[in-house]
Amino acid sequence: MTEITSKELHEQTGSVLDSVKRGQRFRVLRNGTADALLVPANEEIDPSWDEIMADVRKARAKGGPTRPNPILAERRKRNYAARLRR
Amino acid sequence: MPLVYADSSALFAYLHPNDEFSVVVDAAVQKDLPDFVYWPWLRYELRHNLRMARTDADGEVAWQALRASEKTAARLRWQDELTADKMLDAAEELSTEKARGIVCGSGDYLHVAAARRLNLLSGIDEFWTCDAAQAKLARDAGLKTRLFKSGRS
Repeated sequence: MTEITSKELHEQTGSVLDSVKRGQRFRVLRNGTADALLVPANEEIDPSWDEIMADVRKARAKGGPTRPNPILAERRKRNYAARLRR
Repeated sequence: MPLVYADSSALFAYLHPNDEFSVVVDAAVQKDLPDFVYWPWLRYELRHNLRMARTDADGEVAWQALRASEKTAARLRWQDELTADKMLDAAEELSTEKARGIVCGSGDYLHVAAARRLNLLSGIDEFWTCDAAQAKLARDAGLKTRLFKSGRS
């Protein structure tokens, strides 16, 4: 990732955006601190489900008994109309 | 990435490692790589149930996964169009059409009404649930629906 100051970005906005469009990534510095990232619009910046779910999958892999889904359990308990129709 | 409306039963199952549907929902996500619709009612119902499940390490892992996915702009896609007041009206409309024929709770009608509205506005790829009654309602409302069967051990 290329570092660029906010002053440079201001002075060269067009050419920087052309570079970003071609795939270059920039870290924008203001007073020496990174304040923003410039990345191509078609690039994935959010973490994938694999990254988000790594710990959940690790916990699942340990095994152990499964538990009833609490939302279904609540719905079943509250479903008075279905019981009336039985 | 397909955009899927997963109701809170399916999203809870996806996030909680010990849920009875956890394995089957996770397998579907790994295969299809969907992003999920997110809006106030779904967020409230999901957070409420995950908060109540924070009684052990697995519940904590599930909660942290929810918070990580909420921080993204894509994995849980916030829908500005699905406001609570508009969706209550949409659910009322759906209930008027279907409630005499299809027995589901009021919250189920709210989920299906929101999915149907979003499908009309911008299109969704599928509706996912672990609830057979809700799946019936969603199909009847014209949504392509996937019902998960428990892989309970």
